[in-house]
Amino acid sequence: MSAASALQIDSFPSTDGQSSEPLGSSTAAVPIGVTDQVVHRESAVRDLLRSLQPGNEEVRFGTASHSLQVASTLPNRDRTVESSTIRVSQTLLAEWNGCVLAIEDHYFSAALKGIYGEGVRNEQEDAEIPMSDVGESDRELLRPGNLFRLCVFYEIQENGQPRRYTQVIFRRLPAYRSQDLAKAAERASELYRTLRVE
Amino acid sequence: MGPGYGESIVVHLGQGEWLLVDSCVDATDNIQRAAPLKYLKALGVQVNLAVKLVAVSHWDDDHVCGIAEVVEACSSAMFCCSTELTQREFLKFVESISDGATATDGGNVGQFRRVIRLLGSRNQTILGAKPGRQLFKYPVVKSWSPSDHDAMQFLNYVAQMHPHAGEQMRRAIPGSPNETSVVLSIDWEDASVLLGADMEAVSDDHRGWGAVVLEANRIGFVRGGVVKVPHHGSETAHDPRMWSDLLLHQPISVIAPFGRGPIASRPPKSSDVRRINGLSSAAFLTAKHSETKLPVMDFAVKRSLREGNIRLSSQRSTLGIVRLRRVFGLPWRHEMFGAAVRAK
Repeated sequence: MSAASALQIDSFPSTDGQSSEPLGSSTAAVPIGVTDQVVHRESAVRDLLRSLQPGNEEVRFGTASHSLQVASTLPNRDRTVESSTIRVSQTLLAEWNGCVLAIEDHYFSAALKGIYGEGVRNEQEDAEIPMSDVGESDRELLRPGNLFRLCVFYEIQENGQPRRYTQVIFRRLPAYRSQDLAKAAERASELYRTLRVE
Repeated sequence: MGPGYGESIVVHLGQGEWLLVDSCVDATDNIQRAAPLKYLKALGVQVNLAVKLVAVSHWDDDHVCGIAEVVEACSSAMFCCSTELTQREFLKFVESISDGATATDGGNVGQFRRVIRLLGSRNQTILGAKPGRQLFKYPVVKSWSPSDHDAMQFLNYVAQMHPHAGEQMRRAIPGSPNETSVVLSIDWEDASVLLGADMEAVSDDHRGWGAVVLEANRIGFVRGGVVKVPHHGSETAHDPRMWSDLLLHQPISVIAPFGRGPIASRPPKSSDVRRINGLSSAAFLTAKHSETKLPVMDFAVKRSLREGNIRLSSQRSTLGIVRLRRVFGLPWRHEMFGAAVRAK
């Protein structure tokens, strides 16, 4: 895996007071540390990436201490990021794409496809996930067929204590549009006319 | 054969002609080719010419994996499914849910869409399965379901699943009610077989096995000496009338277990196998339940999942095949391949 693709991007707060933009669909390109809700794109990160020299042995990624090393290479105007970065450093250990299959009383079952992690990538598994792992704001999305990501993170907390945790992040896909559904109905009628059923 | 993932039945009708019921894939096969095609090709069968009938018992994930590949390859075969799968309402559902397929991966609805389009473009006749309908002349292949009541249930199910404007796009989860399964019988001159699909026992005699048995008794039925036990041998599919009215005393039973999810919840349970053994002269499982090891993961990941009470089970269960053969006038002989085991 190249250094760029293994880069951990932590939750950099915006330094200029502007709201940051959710990363969204670029997840696949940067598999580590990227979630819709947790990670935000920050121009400082881009500057930082540009400032990194290929083959720089001191810059290694993927562990809690790396954010410190990375932060030390930041240009002056981004120094404010450093202190924030030290507070919480988060590393993605594993990630799956999931699809809700059925909902039971205390858990939901899902089909998972691994997208990142040792022994995870490209593997397909079934999972039973406790209902308590679904955030209150995501409860309405807990429906068969809906898609989510399951992530396992490792982080160093403010007090220096390490912590591992799992997170279920539901995807918010576009809605069906009435004009598309009308077109689908037309296609279905056309298809129906071509079928010879005895 | 089963479960890699799902189940499929391959029947040599005689004279080099074949019938395929459902399709499944070998979960350990990275290419995920349709297992019945792989099997027939290994036997040297030219599937484009020799397969005369392809039947889909119902629209459920474990019965339609690879079905588009099967229909595509078996170009001269007749296609049979329950009439409801060709209704305008179902096609509308398929087309609508496919709108989000780029984002949602479509699930197996894409397989069925391909099948329907292929049959439409070939201008091929689809045989709609109904109770007592003859689908093939010799051996006599007949369908015994779904009943009109169950067909109505299916259309209700489709209506509930149909996407509405403003709803978030989602993947279709194939899982039509099991009572809409197509039960088939095959009658040779001296032997009969009952293929129970996923048919369930329902208290209402107009539905499920009750309806099948009523219709069979009304029209007349040649009792089977071999049965593909319905719905993975589960208790919910057990109707004593199937055993007493549609089968010979102590038939040979073949069970295709369900190969996904936690072992404790997979049918058949050991009590189911005991029940089926008690009713059969011989019983076979296409695969024994066994926990397929998960790939080696980072220890921290495994621990986090365990601590979070998230239970994973591998989808890579091994394929098994039970082969039953007989020569005219002689008893059935069995062979087992892969993960298949004899239960009695």
